[in-house]
Amino acid sequence: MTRLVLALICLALPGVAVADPICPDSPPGLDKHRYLRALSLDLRGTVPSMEEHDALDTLDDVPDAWIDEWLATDAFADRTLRLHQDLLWLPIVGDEVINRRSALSRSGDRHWRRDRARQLRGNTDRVPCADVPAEFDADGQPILALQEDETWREGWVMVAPYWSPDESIKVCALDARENEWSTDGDHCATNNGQGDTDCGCGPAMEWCVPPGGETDLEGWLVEDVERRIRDIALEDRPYTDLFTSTTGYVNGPLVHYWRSLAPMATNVDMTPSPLPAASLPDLTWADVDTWVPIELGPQHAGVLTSVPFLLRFNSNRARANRFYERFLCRPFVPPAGGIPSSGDEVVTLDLQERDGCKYCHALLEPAAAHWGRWSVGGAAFLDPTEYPPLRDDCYVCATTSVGCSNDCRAHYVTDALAAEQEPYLGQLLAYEFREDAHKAGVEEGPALLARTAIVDGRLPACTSRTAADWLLGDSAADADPAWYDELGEEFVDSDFSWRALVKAVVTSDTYGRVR
Amino acid sequence: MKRLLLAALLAGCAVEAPTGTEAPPRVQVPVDEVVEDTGDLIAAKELAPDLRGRRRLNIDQINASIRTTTGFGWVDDDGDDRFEQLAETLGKPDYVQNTQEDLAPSLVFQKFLTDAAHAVCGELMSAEYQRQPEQRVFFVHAEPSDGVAEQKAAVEENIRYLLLRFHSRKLDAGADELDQWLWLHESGEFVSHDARLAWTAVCVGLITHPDFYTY
Amino acid sequence: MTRFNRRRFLGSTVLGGLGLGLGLRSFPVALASGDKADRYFIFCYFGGGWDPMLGLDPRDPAVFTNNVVGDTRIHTGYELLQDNDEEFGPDPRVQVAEDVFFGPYIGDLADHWADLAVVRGMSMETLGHGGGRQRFITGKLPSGSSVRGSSATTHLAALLGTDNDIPNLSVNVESYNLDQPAFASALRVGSVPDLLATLRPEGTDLDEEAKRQISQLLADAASCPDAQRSKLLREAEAARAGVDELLHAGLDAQFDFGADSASMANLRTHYGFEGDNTGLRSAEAQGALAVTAITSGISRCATVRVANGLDTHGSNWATDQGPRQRRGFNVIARMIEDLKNREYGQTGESWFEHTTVVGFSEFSRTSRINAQGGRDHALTNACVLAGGNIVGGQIIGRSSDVGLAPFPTSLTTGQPDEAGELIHPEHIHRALLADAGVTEDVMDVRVDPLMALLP
Repeated sequence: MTRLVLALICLALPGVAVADPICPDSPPGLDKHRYLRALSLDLRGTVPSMEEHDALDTLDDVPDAWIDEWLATDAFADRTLRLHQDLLWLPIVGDEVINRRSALSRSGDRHWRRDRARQLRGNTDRVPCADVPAEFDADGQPILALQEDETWREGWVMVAPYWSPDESIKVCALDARENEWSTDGDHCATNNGQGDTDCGCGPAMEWCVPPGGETDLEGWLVEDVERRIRDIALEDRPYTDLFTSTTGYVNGPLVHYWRSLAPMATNVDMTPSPLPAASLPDLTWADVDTWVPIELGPQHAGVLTSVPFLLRFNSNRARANRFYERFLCRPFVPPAGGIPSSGDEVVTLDLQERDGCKYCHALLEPAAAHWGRWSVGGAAFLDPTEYPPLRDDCYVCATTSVGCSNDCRAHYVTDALAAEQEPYLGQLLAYEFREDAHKAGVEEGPALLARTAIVDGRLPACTSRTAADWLLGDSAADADPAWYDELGEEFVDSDFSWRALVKAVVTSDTYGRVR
Repeated sequence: MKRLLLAALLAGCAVEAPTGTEAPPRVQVPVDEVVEDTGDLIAAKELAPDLRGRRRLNIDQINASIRTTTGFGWVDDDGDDRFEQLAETLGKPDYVQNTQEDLAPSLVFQKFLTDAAHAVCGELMSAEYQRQPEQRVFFVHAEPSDGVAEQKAAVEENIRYLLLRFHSRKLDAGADELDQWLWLHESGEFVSHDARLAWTAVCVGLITHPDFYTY
Repeated sequence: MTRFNRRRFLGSTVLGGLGLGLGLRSFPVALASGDKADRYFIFCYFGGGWDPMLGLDPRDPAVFTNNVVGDTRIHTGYELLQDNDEEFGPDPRVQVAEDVFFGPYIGDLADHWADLAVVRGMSMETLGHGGGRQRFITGKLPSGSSVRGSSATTHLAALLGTDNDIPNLSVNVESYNLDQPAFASALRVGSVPDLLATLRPEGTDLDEEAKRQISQLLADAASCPDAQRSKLLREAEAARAGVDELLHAGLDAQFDFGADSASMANLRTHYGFEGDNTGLRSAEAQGALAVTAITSGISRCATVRVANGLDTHGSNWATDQGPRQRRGFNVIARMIEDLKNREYGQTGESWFEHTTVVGFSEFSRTSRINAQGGRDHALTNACVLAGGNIVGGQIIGRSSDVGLAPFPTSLTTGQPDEAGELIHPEHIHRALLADAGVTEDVMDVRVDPLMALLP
């Protein structure tokens, strides 16, 4: 039929030669130019240049040196990052890393805190101040005047905020107040303080977030992790650093965030701070593009204790599940036959023992406990000094009529729904139903989980598999298991070099033979 | 009729469903014990050994490759990247709502790749016609006005060059596989009487060809 | 409207290419036949894992008090809800019939109780978002992150959608085709505007003849043995060949919801969205898209995402979980009303009598509130169905009164029954297929249908 059509065209259009379909004679192996193309797409994300094709013409095959060179490029680091975005699901989703009360909005050129507006101005609607210079009473408090629209509003003042100290901006006077304490006795740089009507944003607006700042901060928190991932590729660091390193990155805004804003975060738990204040460099908000490596502390375990990971997988079970599924290649699956129902029976709260659940949770619970000192729904770290395994005040409030503090309620077992929980009253939540052999996991943290998996080979084997899947696609599953073993062994022998692993895959016979 | 049969073949004969996909029961092992590797717990698929499957470029690779080969990106009237605008629809995960990359050469993918090819090739032709020969990236071995009838050798040489540039296919001079591309140019020029449109068709064909978007 | 048979198009390529176009376009399916077995499906996904106590499976706060949480392991949490738009009393549940209640955020869906079948006490057997979603969509637990079966919508489209232009349409929800004909694969887009862009030809310097020549070259390449041996290339060519047909069908006008016409204005008013970019990307617009796709005969199955952000582990459970569910339920209510208002062919029946709407989420949330004031993931799930042959005004199954655990149910009566089975999504898929006249286990899910859904 095709030829009929072509023939008709050609009969109607003299002078045009008929083009019968010519099929390429393509052996399964890629020739050197097609191999170059595959390499370039996988290692750099784009096709080769003509200069590279021309240079290849004079050679028998793609030189190793080219591959080594490409593995050292920013482009390969970007490709590595793309893979790890899939492994870690990096964006921070739906969490407010700041205190909503301290977020500034902008109306025209006036900055104001929208969340507090009703309380501050006594109106039913959220409105900013009037667009006039503020007036003050004898006590130095802004005067609110009745407006034509029957709202009460004060005026604005000029402030040089921390995010642009050289350029003063208009700020509604009630929001620009600098007093440290409220009349209720709350410090204004706390959630309670920001909820008091006599607290403002502090000196140079220190406690408030510029418009759009929250989104930017989330992006920078993610960029910290992205830089660590790119380092693995760019600096050929051991891949295992991703799970064991205690170094992270901050820029100027993040320094301000950790010092002044994170302690006030309410939707996510950032207190106690997961990193030592002393390690924060002397940078300002303006130092957006200045990224400095900092020492995070021995409790950290690379990406496994990074803010994006902890917020995205915001329960300890989710964190352990992700690590097992993506970095140990051991997803948790239910037993054949399904999980039985408990119906209306009261069953054990210990998932390690409950019928059906124990199939996975016998392993998942102790694995999750490695994050036991990292807050659920946040990135706070519970230092053993302040949060010992058993805390007296929490034990007392759990076992007497004394009320429990927020701290105890959030992090310790203070309620026993069933008798089986009673032995754990006053203990850190991570210790509930914990066997002695697993308590070290709580204290050593995710770093222990990672180190164990590195030493026993599960993590290197899975990393090798991940690299092969990434580069070979669906057909990775067909590869000879012995080849995978060899790949994993070479990966270990190379001191966990991600570059070496990728090179081993792209120089393998399988990679160069396309169906 | 043959076309219908061919179409039936192309339209997706039933593919064998994967077999043996039940995961084996999990071994319950305390976390701090050394685990003997029992092999991959994810079931293997039954495919021909020792050959890797062809893969489609992801959207970032397509975008970058179009820019590398043509010097232009697919943008809207405001200069915003259309691949980025359509990322969700084109299956690029944002890891917020969508966490799985869709690498199928689907109808949606084909449609937008074609749109991109037309847009970028139009820009490229306009630019190339303005450039000095030493600056050109598309008309390297032929002039824009060259046609098969009068300058077959130049046109063929240019197509050889373009196939290497866009598809990394190195063909010998006079190779039979060049005929279909020569035909495309020649018939396009004959019908439109415009060498520019003929070359635009070649450009679009190069980008929408599987050799461009798979590897 | 003349509709193109997508699968027959390939035979018309040649003649169409010569500008002859001789009668190879199909004519509308005989909808006027009154064929009750003619079934259409709309799946509505609530993203993130919903809390059924706020919607489909509430508890009486007077019975499940905080004092007995130790025994029941259930904390309704109704007293903790923070809603700027509503004030709840001590019992915020919505009663729709004697002894039948929904949660406080059931929204306008409560008005359609007589049409609804609510399945409670389903077991999902996974607590991962992706796994749960894949489980519901395909009826099978995934293997790691890889699905083990095609989506239910793909199966339905394969069986019923041979005459539809876009048999399977999905907006912002994944879909899978492992083993069904290529035409049944979902056409996936991210939004209504993106669907419009997909269906509209873009401007180009080349005329139709030039495009046909390019198409010829590509078709020839696809006919080569190497290409024929590659599943990917076969799929690519089938998809490529389908593009022209889709563009020539002129379907975009149906979805131009932002257009300045009375019909589109009415549509926007009914569903409650604006014609700007934000409105067109809303859940409400997606609801309108699904109904339009079905009732215009374009699609056999449509899947849309009607709610998002339900993964409320923290204090946002009290503020966000409910309103987001309610918004999704309201979209379903609007869809039901719209379907009822559209006549099915000239049968005197409504499209609602031929279209089954399914509302689902990947799993539910824990019966107790966690230390952060939210709820974590839980295995037990619920879902809601309406329309087509679904028997409305009924609750099928139940979750237990201790910890909201899944409970065995009789598949035939829909009543809790210790001798019954735990309901999974695949029981529902089998019922939908059975209603469409397919009694074989084409999805290979190895369970019997939940026949209590059907008369």
